[in-house]
Amino acid sequence: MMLLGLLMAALLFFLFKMLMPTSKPQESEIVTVLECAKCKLKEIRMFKRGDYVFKEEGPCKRCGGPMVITKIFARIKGKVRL
Amino acid sequence: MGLRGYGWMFGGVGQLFQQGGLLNTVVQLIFTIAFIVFLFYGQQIQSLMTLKKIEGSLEKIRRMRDEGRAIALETIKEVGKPDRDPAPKLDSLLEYFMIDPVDLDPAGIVWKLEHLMNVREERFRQEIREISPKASESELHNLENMVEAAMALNSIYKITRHYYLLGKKTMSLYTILQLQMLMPTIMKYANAYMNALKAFSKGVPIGDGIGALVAAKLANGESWRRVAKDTIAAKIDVDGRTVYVVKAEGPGGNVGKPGDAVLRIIEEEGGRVSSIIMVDAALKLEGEKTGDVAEGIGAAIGGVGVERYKIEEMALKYKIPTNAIVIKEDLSEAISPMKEEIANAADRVIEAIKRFITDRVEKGGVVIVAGVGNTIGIGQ
Repeated sequence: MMLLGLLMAALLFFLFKMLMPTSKPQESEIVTVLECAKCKLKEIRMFKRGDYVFKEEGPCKRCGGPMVITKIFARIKGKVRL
Repeated sequence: MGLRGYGWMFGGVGQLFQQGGLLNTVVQLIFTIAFIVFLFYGQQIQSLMTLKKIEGSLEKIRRMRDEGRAIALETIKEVGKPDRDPAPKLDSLLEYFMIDPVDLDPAGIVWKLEHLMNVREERFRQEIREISPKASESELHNLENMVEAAMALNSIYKITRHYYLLGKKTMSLYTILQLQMLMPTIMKYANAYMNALKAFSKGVPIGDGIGALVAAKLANGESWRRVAKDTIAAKIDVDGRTVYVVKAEGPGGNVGKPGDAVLRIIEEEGGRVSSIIMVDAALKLEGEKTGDVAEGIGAAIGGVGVERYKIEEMALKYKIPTNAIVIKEDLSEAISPMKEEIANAADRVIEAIKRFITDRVEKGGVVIVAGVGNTIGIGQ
């Protein structure tokens, strides 16, 4: 009987552990999206202090036109897409 | 060996638990004592266990508060380059407070509140300027917002500690339980303010800035003029309709005075405004998707209510319909760095605004589009 009780207690413990919601905080990173005002070439890089939306940055690598910051946002770390 | 091999052991245990056996008596005694203890001291034991849990969360908030202060101090030193140590001034700013106007006679309270808010803002800006003499105007706005986030963290910590100590002092289970029930929400807000503080220290756009982002995108490349304190407007044409786009002046952290701006444009146009469209972030309910766009009626603007009051008064005076387009997000998303799904909603909102104008405003009509929210990290 005692062994059965111990087994039941262990079972309840594992069930409880399994059903408890586990929420791991996802790490995020801030990225800056730049777009060429002329040829629409898009570039994405990590956010730097001083960046802001509609700030003009250096010339476009493809056509030499002005690159403008069009978006700054937080995304889950490791996600690579544009 | 099999189970049969352990028979001697279980047999021994069985003997110990026999009626009248020594172990049986001891176990019974333990259970009886435990029963009596729980009968008389159950509530106190529960209170102590709950207090221990709250203590853990309170310690986390304290660490966040200290980290927030350290980040604020470091940023002020880096950006503002003060001549002397800004720590004492920062510590006094963290304890800064404002006393709400008396509301026994509510007539005229909005103007009293506005006056107090203006005085507070001006005084706060002066104090920040004193410890950040080398900061530019937009950096100064960011520093102001950052110190406000540090103030919020300090308040959260102090209020939580107050109720924790009150519960500990009185050992009132109900005070302790109320605090324990609120702890997940308090922790969520503390985390959100910590994220906000980090965003403000770097000048990253926050979720609340989506209204300003929409306005900036709608009138991108147009010339802007100042129409109210820290607030600018641009005049654009949408399919034969004149549209005034209003937003706070960026890229510094700033919400401007959209109420005053809308008021001025209505007066400049002699009241002949066909519609006001307000774009703002709105708190979503649990289960709703972040970045969803919804349309409705009314003045979509948060804050203490002064700016909303002004817009509602003007709309009523000139019988101008007030429409709202909101972008759904929760409180922590509103004050944390702008999420991708919120940033992506801007184009959908612009489509909705243009559709609304072409469908509901006659050609030649005048429309005001107010992009409400903190414009940190968003230029024009």
